[in-house]
Amino acid sequence: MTKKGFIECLTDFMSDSEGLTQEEIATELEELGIDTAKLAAAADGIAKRGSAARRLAWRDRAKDRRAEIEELLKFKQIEIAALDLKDKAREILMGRYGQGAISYAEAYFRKRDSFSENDLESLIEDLEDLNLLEEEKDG
Amino acid sequence: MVQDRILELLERVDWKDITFRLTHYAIWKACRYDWKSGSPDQLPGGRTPQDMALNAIEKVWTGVREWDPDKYPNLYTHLKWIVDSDIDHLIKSKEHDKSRRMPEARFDQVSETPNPEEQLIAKENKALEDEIRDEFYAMVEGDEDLETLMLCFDEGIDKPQDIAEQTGWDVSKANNVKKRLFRKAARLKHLTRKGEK
Repeated sequence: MTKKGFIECLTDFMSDSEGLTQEEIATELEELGIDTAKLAAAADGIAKRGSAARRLAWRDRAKDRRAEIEELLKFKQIEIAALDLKDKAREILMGRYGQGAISYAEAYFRKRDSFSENDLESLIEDLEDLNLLEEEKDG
Repeated sequence: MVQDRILELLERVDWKDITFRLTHYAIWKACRYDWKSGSPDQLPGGRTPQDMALNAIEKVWTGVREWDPDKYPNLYTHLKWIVDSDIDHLIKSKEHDKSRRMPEARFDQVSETPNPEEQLIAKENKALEDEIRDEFYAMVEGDEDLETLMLCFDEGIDKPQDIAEQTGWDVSKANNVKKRLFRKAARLKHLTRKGEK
């Protein structure tokens, strides 16, 4: 193995910020003439724009998945007695309770050809246990 | 779904902290090379190390360089790879190549039978490394810890753990010495020469 040169060692050592606090790094950046407030604001802007764009894509994906699940429900038999539970399941699948609940319910429905009242009760209990039945805030 | 999880993880990141660390990283990575502008603060295309850091962050958010948290749990490491790759791309860019040859990071990586052009490059690289090395040694003269650190670099040792082992320091002392070197290095012309050569 070849020995690292002086500059490579120096720059690798100096570029490693482990053991330095955010304040220490900020001080160093400022000493180099960097406006850290402006830098932080730029990063915040990227994160906000990125988050908004990803959420938009998320909604599109969720919409497609809901349509798929609606189809699934249509073709699978559900006992009459379970109809009120079916409405609850439908609310879950319509996204009222967020992505985690949709994903769980989707997997649950795909595994079965028909559902009894017990099946739907069991699904909703599972979702409650997993704390997935909190209403989606911004979905 | 994977995308939902990535979004959730990205939204939890302390972007201010990671941006400062990544900018700091990009600055020192840029210092490794001799840029056409004469300053590691002025990269080809009018970019700065800050731009490199912010671009890397943007690439992760937009999915241009998608982050796979299962494969690479550490987002900061993923971002550093993007900065490395982008700096490497700049080094190879025509704009950079037009005026100044790039000193290789390792000066001993010339082929066994170098042709005249390679010999010339190696000579230029060695001269530049010596210049920077002398500048650092002069800067730390009289500070025993920093002089010891320079000797470690000369020996190819740069990991705080290895430095601690070599010098008998503990790792926290190696990090404290690093802070001292930062303060001094900020005044060095190779770091802040702002276009002068």
